[in-house]
Amino acid sequence: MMKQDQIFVKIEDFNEVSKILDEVKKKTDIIKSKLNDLKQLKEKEDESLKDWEDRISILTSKISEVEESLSK
Amino acid sequence: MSYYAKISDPRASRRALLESIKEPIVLLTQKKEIDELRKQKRELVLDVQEEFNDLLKILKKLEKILPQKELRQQILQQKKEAQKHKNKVVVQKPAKGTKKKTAKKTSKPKLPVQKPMTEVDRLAYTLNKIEEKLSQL
Repeated sequence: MMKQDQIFVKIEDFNEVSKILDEVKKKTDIIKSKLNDLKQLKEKEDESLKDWEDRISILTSKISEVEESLSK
Repeated sequence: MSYYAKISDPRASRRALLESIKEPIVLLTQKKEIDELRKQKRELVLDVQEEFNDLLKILKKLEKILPQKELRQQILQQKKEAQKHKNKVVVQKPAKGTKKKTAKKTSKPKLPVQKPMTEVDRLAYTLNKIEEKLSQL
């Protein structure tokens, strides 16, 4: 096995780094969940827009129905 | 004198008319829902941006503590150089009243303006250095 150099780190620095890494982890978790929420919102919006599109095509067909029945 | 149009199937026409009136109302309520969703989305995007900024601050704190003296010094050196260059460019600007005169006298070619280092450049530079070190390990 390859011999590696030993590294010594000040215990305060080590603790500080582990604390900061913990903060980073928490923050990334928060960002991840918020991005997930954003994705869900986007999906909802897309669904509503699709529904809107469908309703508009229904409306146009209804209007042509009215036109047809009036011109009979 | 009034004229009248004959509607042969009034029941169907009434039905189609009522249904076609119903749809715009449903559409309007849906529009309100979409507006609300968009508002929520905007707020969430701002929120995420804020979180990213916080994360960047935390990472900067981490960068200061981690033992990468060489790298930090190189970055600081680059920042200083960029700042010096920026200051030089500011000094070279003529005063308001002497604008025309100095323009005639100094017809030297302009120095290429070096862009100041942005946060993205700095991060890219740090990333490159880390990758270099990783490849050496």
